[in-house]
Amino acid sequence: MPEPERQSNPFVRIFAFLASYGVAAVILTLLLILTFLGTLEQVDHGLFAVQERYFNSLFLVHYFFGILPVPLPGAYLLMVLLFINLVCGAIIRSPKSWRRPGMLIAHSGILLLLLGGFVTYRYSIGGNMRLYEGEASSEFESYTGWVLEIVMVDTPAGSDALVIPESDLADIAPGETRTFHSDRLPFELEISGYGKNTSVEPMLGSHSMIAVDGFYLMTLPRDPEEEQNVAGAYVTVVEKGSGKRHEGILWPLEAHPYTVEIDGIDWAFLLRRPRWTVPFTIVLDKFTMEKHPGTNTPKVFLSDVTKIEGKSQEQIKIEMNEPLRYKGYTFFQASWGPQEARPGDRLFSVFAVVRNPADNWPLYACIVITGGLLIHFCQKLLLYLRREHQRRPAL
Amino acid sequence: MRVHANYTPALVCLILLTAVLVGCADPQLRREITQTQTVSPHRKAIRPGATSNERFGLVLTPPGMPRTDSFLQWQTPEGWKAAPASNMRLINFRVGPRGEAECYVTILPGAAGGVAANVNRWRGQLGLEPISESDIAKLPTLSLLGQEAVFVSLDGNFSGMGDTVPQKDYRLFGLIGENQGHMQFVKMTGPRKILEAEAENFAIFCASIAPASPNNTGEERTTAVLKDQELGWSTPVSWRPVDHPSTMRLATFACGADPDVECYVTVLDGDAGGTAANINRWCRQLGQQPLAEDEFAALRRVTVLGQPSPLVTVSGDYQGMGGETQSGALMAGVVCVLPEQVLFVKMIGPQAAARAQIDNFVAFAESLQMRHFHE
Repeated sequence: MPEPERQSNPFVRIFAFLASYGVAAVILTLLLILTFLGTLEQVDHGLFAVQERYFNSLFLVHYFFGILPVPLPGAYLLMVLLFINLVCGAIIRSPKSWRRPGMLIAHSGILLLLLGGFVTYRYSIGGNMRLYEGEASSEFESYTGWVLEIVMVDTPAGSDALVIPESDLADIAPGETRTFHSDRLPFELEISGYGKNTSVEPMLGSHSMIAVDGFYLMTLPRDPEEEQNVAGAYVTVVEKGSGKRHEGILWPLEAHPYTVEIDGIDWAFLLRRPRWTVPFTIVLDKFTMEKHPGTNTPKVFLSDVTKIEGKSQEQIKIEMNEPLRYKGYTFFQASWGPQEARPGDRLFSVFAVVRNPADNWPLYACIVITGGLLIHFCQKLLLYLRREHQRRPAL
Repeated sequence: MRVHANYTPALVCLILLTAVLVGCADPQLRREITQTQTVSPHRKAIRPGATSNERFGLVLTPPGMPRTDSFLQWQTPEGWKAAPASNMRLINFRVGPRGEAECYVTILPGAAGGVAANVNRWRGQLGLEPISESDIAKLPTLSLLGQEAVFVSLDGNFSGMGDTVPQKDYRLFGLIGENQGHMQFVKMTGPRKILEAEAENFAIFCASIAPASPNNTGEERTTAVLKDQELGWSTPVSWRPVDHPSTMRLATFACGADPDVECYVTVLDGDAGGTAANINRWCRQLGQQPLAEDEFAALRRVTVLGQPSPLVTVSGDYQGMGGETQSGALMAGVVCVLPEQVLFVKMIGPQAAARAQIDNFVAFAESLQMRHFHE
């Protein structure tokens, strides 16, 4: 009797469990609950924080009614489990036959959709590029996060600047100083007081904060909208030869970056958003914005840009729902500013820039799923019609 | 056969390992910079050598960041309505029944032209001739954010920035002083009658401006915790409570037979500029020199709300903030420093009549009791 033997095999039982409809139903139900709870949480905690906590996590604790802690699996873990469940149940276990390819194709499409989500999460980058008319850029910067860039003021374009990632700054404990060094630098950097949301304020009282040239770094409560937070830190530049120390404050909204002259060379220290370079240049030739009559609501805003790559130039119009797609990068017309601009003021255009290797995978997945379902339903229809035809007595 | 184990290699390794571990600093405290990024040809030019004032002085307030609220706190006089703040007006109020008057606080990096130039600019706005630096040095001072600031009260026809027609019969209260490399201003302008009524509120507002605690939540502290129903006292027999329009006063009394002798209690958040600064302000209001340190230390202490509090009596010709004068006046005042607040008990009147009430004044101050200090 082979059947009981197979059931006693623990691997078979594990496989059967992973491939079961029950597991699929539980995972889908939990994803539904997470989506609901995460959507509600966004009201108080902002999009970024909720995405990190509910959708990019393995586990989380949700406080029902603000007081009752309930541990839940994160959406990341659930989608990995769903992928395994589909592979086991819908691909490996399901009967494979050229006579019934529909469901196999449809499930393959769902797997492609999940895989696309994973590739997007792990490998896509997104940010924005802001240009005034006449300005050019080949970089876009992240909406969140900070890096400390150390560069010679006279560094020519194309050479390298040293960069300290935020992960090396964010875990500096209060009261702790971290030293950063490089053989390429004639100094070391001592960073302290790193805050995720700060402002630089004039030192007007006598409270016991560190002050640099009459200013100090004030720590502010963290804004739920991650993009609104402005990091800051104290920096001390220690010259390697003489040990001479230069103190400053790093703050992204400064009018000019902190600079120090060492041995006749000016060094700049910029706390800024992470940036990525695109292999071409975008020049904003003209920005057009029209408002609905009598309102401040924009009716249309579009950007006439020139894409320059080597010696070739191409005039392109970017507007809402008509992005520029080139070399894996997509430029969407996102916004414009300044919002308080008066007629005649110089405006800038903001492009949301995305590089996503799986950019079109959801489209492909939907086509595959649609095709699979069409095949399946057509087969079912044909089967039904054939049976009806056979059942009907011959006249 | 005895085997002698050779521990030398192990010992050397152990010593080397220890040396390496000791020689290397904690990686948490020392890290190498390994990442690089290509410098863009479109990078904005960097200006080397910018000072901190140039870097941070007039940085635009980012949207959603309550900048002023986060680094200053103050007490808003009742009836003053908050107006939108800006980089030039960190705190901004409209005052008066229809908001005819305005009061705002400005802090600028550096000297901002200096005290004399700004005082004479204000005088020019009121159609007054400039005065010399020596005359400016004689002007009264008030405490602003813990520093002495020059106070001016000017009357005339006011021409503000952008005004084409002067506003008639205006008054300007101005307070200007240097503070740790910044120039700080409090300016109030409006019809003279309104500013006459608001003189005391202006003084109290200026005294209430204080640096916020470095990690506060950015909330403005608008009212004093103390309320008259929370503060108890024993009223001297010959005193009677009177209504006073100023909402900054917790209680006002007519003291004794002479109706011109009045006593009142106020409370401010923070240190209100400090005990010595307030006592010296009172001295100057009566034309007296500020107290030296030893004189201040020698002041009699009375116990108010459990705190030993300096009592000062000053006589002279009184000139109030609103320009009101009283010849031959006597002022008695007590400054009681509480946790996060300062309580003032002040009595002023004609010398003879006020002097007769000194004992009652002390008894009144010492009778103050807190019923519910914090809800």
